[in-house]
Amino acid sequence: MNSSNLHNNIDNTRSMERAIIEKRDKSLISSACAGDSRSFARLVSFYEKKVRAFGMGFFKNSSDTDDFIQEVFIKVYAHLSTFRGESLFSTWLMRIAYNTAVNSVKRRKEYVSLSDDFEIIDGDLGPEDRQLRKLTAQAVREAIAELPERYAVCLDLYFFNDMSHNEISDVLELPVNTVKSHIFRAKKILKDSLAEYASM
Amino acid sequence: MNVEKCGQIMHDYLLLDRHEHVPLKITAHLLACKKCRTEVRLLTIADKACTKPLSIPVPITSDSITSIMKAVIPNYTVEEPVFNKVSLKRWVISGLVMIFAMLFFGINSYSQNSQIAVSVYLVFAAVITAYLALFVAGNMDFFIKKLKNLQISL
Repeated sequence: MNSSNLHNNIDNTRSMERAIIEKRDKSLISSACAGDSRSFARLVSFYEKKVRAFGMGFFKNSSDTDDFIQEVFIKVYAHLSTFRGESLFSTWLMRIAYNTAVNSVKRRKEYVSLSDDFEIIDGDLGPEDRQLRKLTAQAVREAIAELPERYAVCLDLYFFNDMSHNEISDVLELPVNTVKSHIFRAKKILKDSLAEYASM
Repeated sequence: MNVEKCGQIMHDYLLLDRHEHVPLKITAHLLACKKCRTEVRLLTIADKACTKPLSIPVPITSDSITSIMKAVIPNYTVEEPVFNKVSLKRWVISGLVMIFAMLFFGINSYSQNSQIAVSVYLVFAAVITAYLALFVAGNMDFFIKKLKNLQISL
């Protein structure tokens, strides 16, 4: 398969995946709003890991993170009927998570990036994938070394939570261009690390 | 390949957002330049390796989901998923009926008109094909699970 086909296939698969996820979430939300607790449990099961990983950056311990996750999903459930579907459910959820985290009294003073803690995002990855993820985490760490907290969150949301520039800008209420420029810088560092890796 | 051009293409590529369509200019360059293609391939794999672990859902019956759900809805009860066992009884019976019918017809039609025999065998072949197609279509979950297990064991 040539590169052009590969890219088109990746693009198509990703947009299809997104459309399926959007449809799935909307259907679960309407069932949950109608009182089906199992549908809400399914929504929780899809997003628990993302909220947990996000919470760990703010609280840095499992106990406070557990409380944080519960608080987030209680808020989500209470306001589910107000979700209008203008953004993705994940964006809306992460906005609630971010506001909950920054307003929590239990949080650590500074945000610690996910790139500092691999255990939480450990998955079934092969050796090459693991190495590449390590390099990405290093690049993210390097890029956020001199950035204020909000930008560290921004890079984590992009690199680990699969969120777009606009979605991150919505969640953190930052200008899209600011988000873009920080992500671009991190990507550049990552590209250089990967070039070194490829030449080894 | 021109280093400056490669630099510009990679710059444009890195500016792309998630799920954004790769412009034709970049795609065309990637087709011709192996170095950039390798860099883009590694960036894509690195990206997948970072996002994949967080996108795997937690089982709905797990303790963490149950405790969240109990906090959200105090009277929430965990319902074990119901797995409908694939019943093969009906399939086995209809399969045996077909085999006996074919054997019976085969014995009876041995010395009869061969043209009738051929057309009846064709009918049998069509019935067997339909039977197998319906069996696979009706038990798709079973085959998908078997295939997944096979992939894991390989």
